[in-house]
Amino acid sequence: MDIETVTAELERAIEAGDEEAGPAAARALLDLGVEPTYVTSALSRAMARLGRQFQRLDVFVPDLLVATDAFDAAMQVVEAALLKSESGRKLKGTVIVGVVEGDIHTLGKNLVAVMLKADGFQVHDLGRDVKVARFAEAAQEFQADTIAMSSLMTTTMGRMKDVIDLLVTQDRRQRYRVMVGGAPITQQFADEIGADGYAEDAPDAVALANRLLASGRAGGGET
Amino acid sequence: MPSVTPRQRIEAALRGEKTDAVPIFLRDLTLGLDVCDFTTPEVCAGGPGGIYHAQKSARCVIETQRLLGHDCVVGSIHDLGLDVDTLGGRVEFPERGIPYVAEPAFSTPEDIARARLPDLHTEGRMPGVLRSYQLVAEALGDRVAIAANVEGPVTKAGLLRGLDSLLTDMVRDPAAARAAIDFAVALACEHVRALLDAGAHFIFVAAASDGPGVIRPEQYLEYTIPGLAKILAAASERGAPVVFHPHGPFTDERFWPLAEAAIETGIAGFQFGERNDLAIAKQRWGKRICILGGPDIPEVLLPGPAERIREVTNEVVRGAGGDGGYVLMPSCSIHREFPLDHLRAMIAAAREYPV
Ligand code: B12
Repeated sequence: MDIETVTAELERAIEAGDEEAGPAAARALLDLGVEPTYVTSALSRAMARLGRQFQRLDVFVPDLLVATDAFDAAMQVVEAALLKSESGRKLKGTVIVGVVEGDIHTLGKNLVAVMLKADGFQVHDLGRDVKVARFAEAAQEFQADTIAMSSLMTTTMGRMKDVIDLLVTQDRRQRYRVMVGGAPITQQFADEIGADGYAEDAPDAVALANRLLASGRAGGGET
Repeated sequence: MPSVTPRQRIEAALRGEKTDAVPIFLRDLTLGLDVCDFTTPEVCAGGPGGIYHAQKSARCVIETQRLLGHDCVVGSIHDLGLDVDTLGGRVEFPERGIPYVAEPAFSTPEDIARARLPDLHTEGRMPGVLRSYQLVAEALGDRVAIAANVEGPVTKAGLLRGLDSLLTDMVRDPAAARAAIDFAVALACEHVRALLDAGAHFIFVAAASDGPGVIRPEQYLEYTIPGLAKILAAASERGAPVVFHPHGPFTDERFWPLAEAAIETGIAGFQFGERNDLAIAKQRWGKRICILGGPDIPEVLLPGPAERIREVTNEVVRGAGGDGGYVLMPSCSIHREFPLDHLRAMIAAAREYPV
C-alpha cells in the first residue's frame, strides 16, 4: 500500500477510535520509511478535525474519548521512533491539566487536553478535584512549563487563584505559564487572579498555549 | 377573583393552562444552606456521626421559599452523591461548598453485577432526605408545589460509574454500559416511589448528561428514552406528572427528533437548559407539553447585572409564557453562593409581567 492510502487509513482509524487499526497504520507508515513527525502530523490532523466537529456537535463526547485512546495507542508506536529520529519531535512544552478542587466537571478539560496533545504539547492530565498543592507539586514532578486549570463552577473557581498564590509564595510563579478556562471564567477573572491567559474553548486554548509559548512570557519550567 | 395558590399555579401550568401569574420554580438544591447559614456537612452529612439532617434540610427549603416567594420547591437540600456513598463510593462535603462525588461507586463493571438496590427507607442518607420531604410537605405542601429531584438515566449511571468510564463502555463494552444504566434507572424508580410517598407532587428528572451536549443522539434514544419511560411508569403508578430536563441544544433543528422522542413518552413538561430558544420550543411543542426554562445561569444570572437579568427574563417570558403552559426557571439548578439579588431580579421581572 502507498503512503497516501495508509495515511488516510490512520486518520480514519483515529477518528473511529479504533485502538488496533490506529497503531497498526502508524507502524505501517514507519515501515514505509516516513519520518515519525509525518505520522504525528497526521494524528494531529485527525484529532483537530474531530475537535472541530465536536464544537459543532457533529460528533459527541464518547467519540472523543475513544479517539483519544486510539491516538494515545498510535503515539506510543511513534514515540520510540521519534526518540531515535534525527529531527526528533519538537515537543512544544509540557502542560499539566486539571479540574480544580471540589469540581468534577471533566468534559471540557478532557477536550482541552486532547487538543493540546494533538498540537504537539506533552500533556499530563491530573484529572478532576485536583487539590491546590497537587498542581504545584505536579508542575515540579512533570517538569511542566504550563499549568492549565479548568473550573465549571463559581464556587470552585477561586481555587485557581489559590494555586497561583501558592506558586508565588513558593517563589516559583515565574517558572510557569498559567492558563485558565471553563464556563464561568472570563478574561477579566484571569487578569484579576494573575493568570497568563484565558480561552473560551478548546481550539482557542491551543491558540493561547502557542501564543504564550511564542511570547516567551514566563514558563521557564523547572530549572 | 379567588386567590390562586403557588401550587395551583404550577399545577395549572403543567396541565398547559393559563393562570394568574407566571409560575416560578428555582430548583434551588443547595442555596438554602446559605439562607440558613448552615455548613454543608452540617446538613448533608448530618454532622459528626449523623447521616443527613432532615430538620435542618427542611428549614433551608422553607426559609428560602419564605424569603423569595417562588411557587415550587424541591423537598430537601439535594446532592448528587445521595446513593453513591451508600453503594461504596466516596462523597465530599466541603464546609461551604457543594457536595461532590470524589470516587464513584462502581470502579469496574463487575461491581455493578454484584450491586443490589439499597433500601431507601433504612440505608444511607436517603431516610433523612425522605423525612425532609415529609416536613416540607407538612409545612408548605397545601400551598406550595413540591418537586422530587431525581437524576436521569445516563446522568445517574455516570455518577455511579464515573462518566468517562460509562461513555467509554457505551462504545467498547455496551453490555457493561447497559447494566450500569439499568441499575441507575431501577434506583431512580425507587426514588420516584419513595419521594412521592414522602409528599412530593411531581417528578423532576434532572439529566445534565443525557443529551447531545454529551452523548450521541442514538445513545440518547437507546438509553435515555427507555429509562425515562420507566421513570414515567413509576410516577404514574401514583398519578404524578413528570418534567424532563436534559441538557443540550434541543431547539436546534437537528435535535428536534430527540425532544419529540421524550414528549412521546408522555412527560408533562420539558425544561430546556442553556443554548435553547424557548420561543421555538413554545411554538413547536407548547400545545402538547408545558415548557419550562429561562435565563442562562453562567451567561446571565450569575454575572448579572440586575437590569440585564430583568431584560432577559422579560424577553424569555414574552416568547414562551404569554398564553400559559409555561414555568419560569433558571437554565439549571441553583446552589450555594448564588447572588440572591440576581434571583430577586428575575423573580420581580416575572411577577411584574402582565399575564
Ligand atoms: C454536564 C454537566 C454536569 C455533569 C458533568 C459530567 C462530567 N464528568 O463532566 C454532572 C451531572 C456530573 C454535573 C454535576 C454538577 N453540576 Co454541572 N453542568 C454540566 C453542564 C450542563 C455542561 C458542562 C459541560 O460538560 N460542557 C461541555 C464542555 C465541553 O464544555 P466546557 O466544560 O465549558 O469546556 C469548554 C470551555 O469552557 C473551555 N475550557 C474548559 N476548561 C478549560 C481549561 C482551560 C485552561 C482553557 C483554556 C479552556 C477551558 O474549553 C472547553 C471545550 O471547548 C453545565 C452547564 C454549562 N453551561 O456549562 C453544568 C454546570 C457547570 N453545573 C453546575 C452545577 C451547579 C453542578 C452541580 C453542583 C449540580 C448538583 N446538582 O449538585 C454538580 C457538581 C458537583 C461538583 N461539586 O462538581 C452549574 C455551575 C453553576 C455555578 N455556580 O457556577 C452549571 C453551570 C449548571 C447550572 N446549575 O447552572 N454537571
